[in-house]
Amino acid sequence: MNTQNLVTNPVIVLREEFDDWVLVFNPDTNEIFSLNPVGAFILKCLDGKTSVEEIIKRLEETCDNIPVDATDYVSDFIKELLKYGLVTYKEN
Amino acid sequence: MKLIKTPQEIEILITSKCNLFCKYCSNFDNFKNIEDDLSTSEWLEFFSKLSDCAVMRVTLSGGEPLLRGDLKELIQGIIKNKMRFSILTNGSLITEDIAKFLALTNRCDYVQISIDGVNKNMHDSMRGEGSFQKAIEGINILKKYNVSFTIRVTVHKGNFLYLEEIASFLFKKLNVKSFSINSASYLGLCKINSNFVCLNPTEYSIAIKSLLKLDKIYPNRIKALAGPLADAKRWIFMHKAYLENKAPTGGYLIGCKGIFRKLAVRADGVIIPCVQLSHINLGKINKDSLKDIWNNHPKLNEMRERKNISLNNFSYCRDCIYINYCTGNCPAIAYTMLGDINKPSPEGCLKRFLEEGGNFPDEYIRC
Ligand code: SF4
Repeated sequence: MNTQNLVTNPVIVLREEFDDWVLVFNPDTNEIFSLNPVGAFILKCLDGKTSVEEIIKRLEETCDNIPVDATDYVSDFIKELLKYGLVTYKEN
Repeated sequence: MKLIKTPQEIEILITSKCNLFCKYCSNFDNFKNIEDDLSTSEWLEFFSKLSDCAVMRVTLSGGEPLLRGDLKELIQGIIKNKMRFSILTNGSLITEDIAKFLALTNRCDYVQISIDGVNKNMHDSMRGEGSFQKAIEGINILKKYNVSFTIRVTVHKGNFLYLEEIASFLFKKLNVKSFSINSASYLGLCKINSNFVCLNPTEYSIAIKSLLKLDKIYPNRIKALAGPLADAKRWIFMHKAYLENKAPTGGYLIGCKGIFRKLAVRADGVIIPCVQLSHINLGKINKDSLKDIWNNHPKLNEMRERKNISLNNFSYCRDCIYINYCTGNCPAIAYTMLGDINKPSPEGCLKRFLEEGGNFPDEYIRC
């Protein structure tokens, strides 16, 4: 999946509540999502420059036991973020 | 319980001015020292600070928030800083222009309007001449522009016998989906007017009976966080738990959860734990760090520690059969009645209610 044109939706609010869990609030839709630390980490990586491979590399630096098929997991997760409007295509 | 890093919500008393002078206003005597409201730019600066703390919702109340000539600009500031908002109003100043504006923002959770009766006599007796008609007009304008609104009914001596009529009026004539209910509490102006505003235990029992019945007729459509319906549900739970010898769910001063989730700000910019505890000065907006206050202010932390104060410390509670299921009720009312937030509030005390002649229908407490 090409993530280099994806950025976090500028309208959403990331609330670090406690530990590394994050609430993602979309004030336009009034939806709130809860992300675990890995999900929050991935969302924060989406800056329009970082590839899935780069995200996994960064994950490996901080987490143990990254599965071999992590690329699929991360790609599917990013598709979900896209589906719920939490990331958006970067404007050129 | 872990504390979240910043508050999720803030209630802002955006003005100390009001066009009405309701006899049970919980705020008015809190405003006596506040001469001028803060300027637009001071509030806008504060909204950007709220955004830095990832606050999600702002409630604008007062006074009457629609008296602020810059209300649209303030709301635009809230939107710009990625928050949603709600407005608590008496409804009398709602215009087509403001309703249209609110609808277009797409960020308004709700506008809460107070309706205390089915006609002007019942409503205006406490809120002032002409206020019923204007509030109904306000509701109709909000409906026209599809602005989400809720109704707040305050139970008092002048309307407690008519709660069924009020529910029927709201559901059938005004077609509201739900409304919330509380009662005039010993706060603000109500302290001066309590004799002809607040219900005695016999009247409170009548209100409870009506509301429990209405709650069955209209399930989940009457919301209550305080007042006769909320008390009734809590008391029935406590009584049943006692009869069934259930495991303790209380026994400590745990009646207030608000300070773990939100804060409030007075019209003069003083940060307070809650609009009903406006004497507790935690700092000033744009001068003191909200994050720092939230996490470290000794008074706020002391309030959060109330949960460790056992009800066994209080002689009146010690022999109470409900002690293991009691939360000690609202600290703000404990403060206004007893001058101490670290005591159980007499309002909301089941033992006192029963001793003073109150009751609730048998059918609700049979095991
Ligand atoms: S006396 Fe009242 S406040 Fe004290 S434990 Fe009993 S019900 Fe609660």
